[in-house]
Amino acid sequence: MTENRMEQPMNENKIISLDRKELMGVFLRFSCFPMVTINYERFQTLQYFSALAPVLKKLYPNKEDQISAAKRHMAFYNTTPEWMGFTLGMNCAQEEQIANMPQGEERSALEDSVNTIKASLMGPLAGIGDSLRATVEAIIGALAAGFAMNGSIFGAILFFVLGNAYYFGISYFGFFYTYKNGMKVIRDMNKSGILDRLMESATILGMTAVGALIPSWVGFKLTSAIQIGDYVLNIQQELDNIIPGLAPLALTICLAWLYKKNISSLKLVGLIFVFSLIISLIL
Amino acid sequence: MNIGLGYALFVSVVCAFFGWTNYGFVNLQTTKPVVCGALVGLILGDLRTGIIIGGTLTLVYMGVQGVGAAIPVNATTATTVTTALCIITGVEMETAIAIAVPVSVMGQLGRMAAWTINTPLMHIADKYAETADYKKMTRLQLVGSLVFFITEFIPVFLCIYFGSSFVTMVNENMPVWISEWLSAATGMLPALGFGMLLAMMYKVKYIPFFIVGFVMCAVFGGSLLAIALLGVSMAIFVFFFGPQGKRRKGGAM
Repeated sequence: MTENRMEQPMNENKIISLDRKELMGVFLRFSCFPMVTINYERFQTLQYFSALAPVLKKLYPNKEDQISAAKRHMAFYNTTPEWMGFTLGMNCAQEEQIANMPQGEERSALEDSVNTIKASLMGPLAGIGDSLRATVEAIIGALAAGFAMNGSIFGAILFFVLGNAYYFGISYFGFFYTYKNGMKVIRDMNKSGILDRLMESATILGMTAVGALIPSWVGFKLTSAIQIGDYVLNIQQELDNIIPGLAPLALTICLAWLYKKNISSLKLVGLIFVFSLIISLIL
Repeated sequence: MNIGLGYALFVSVVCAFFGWTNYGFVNLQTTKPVVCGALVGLILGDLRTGIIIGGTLTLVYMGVQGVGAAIPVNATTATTVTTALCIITGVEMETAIAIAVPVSVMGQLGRMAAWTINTPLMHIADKYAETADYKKMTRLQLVGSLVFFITEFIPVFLCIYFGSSFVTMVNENMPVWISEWLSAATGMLPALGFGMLLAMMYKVKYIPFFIVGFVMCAVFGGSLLAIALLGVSMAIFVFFFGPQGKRRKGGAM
């Protein structure tokens, strides 16, 4: 009896599943065009739908299902582009499952869960994604800028290669891994604390790199000397005797502190211009 | 120097192209200053200038990140226009970099305009969704792409066309103290990029790593790559032996 019921839908219309090529299409569409129609009302929503569109069309041959699928995916969505794959992969697996289910309560519950997953994960994913990218780009950018400022083209190539490797790497991994393993991935990652530890490690690397960057790339020298009687006070030399790079360090920490006090970066640029005017006039 | 309208259009298309890529075209990291600076320099015939300006502006805009829904100042427009103006007018790089700041705000305004203009697309898409017209829905992407190009092109063109004569005029009559001032300011600007990064990552427990990086570079003069490797090894160590790693294995010390 039970076996019969299980087999029934299979006999009526065969199971529709997505092949490798179609999944690759979704991956390429979302990773190459994550923000083409981004807007203030629903952000990346239309891009998310466009990435899925051919897949949805295949999974739902009849018009009514297509309409409900389109409406389902027109709900608000926004996250860090390279982390879109984490929900897209899961959604692909879900849509595949929905398409092979008979109409009923179970099916509509699963349809609802598509948007639940999108809505509940996009925030945390953006939180990890934005800060991880900031750290990664700072490190790659710093290395690349180091080469570039000496006039070497290698800096641009380095950034292009590593930046794309990071972007497409995360996109690819997220999409295909969550497609295969579904919800379990995120739950496992959260439970083992692997994401937190990854963030912590990335921050440690970032802090080390920033520490090294300040004395090398912040140009702040007090070149002039002040003469008091016979005594010549060379400010820069005195500062260097304490520790080299003290002035750039102080400047950076001041700016970081002001930025933490919610002073906008544009105002701080203005402040730098005023400050450098004073420095260049007086000293 | 006045540049011809035709040449200004050509340069503007080149510059706008790179600002357009990550939104309207394939997202390939070509909006990052170090990359697009070199490419603009290559096309306009002065690769070295492009590379150096790109590198400098990478440091300046390092902490500038689009977090959540906020649109940051546009580092790409700043880099492409600065590089182009520097090559066209032949001014010193320090002077050119000072142009980057107002240009980045112009670029930011362009982006904001694009996000606003794209909003009605959602309502059109909603209407097509009623009849499951997938083809028309996905075609809206072409509109979005065009919007991003136009909103990038307009500020870039204004800066290039009117900026070049303005920059030349200022440069020719510039007293020494202004050029000294500008070179002091552009030297300090990277401090803002690092400061913003520092503010973002700061926690008391991370201070030791910051100090190690600073001392290794300032006092011992280590190369950046060497210090980055040191950072990588500390990061790996903490990943495997940090407190959370132990907790995961059952709390045993």
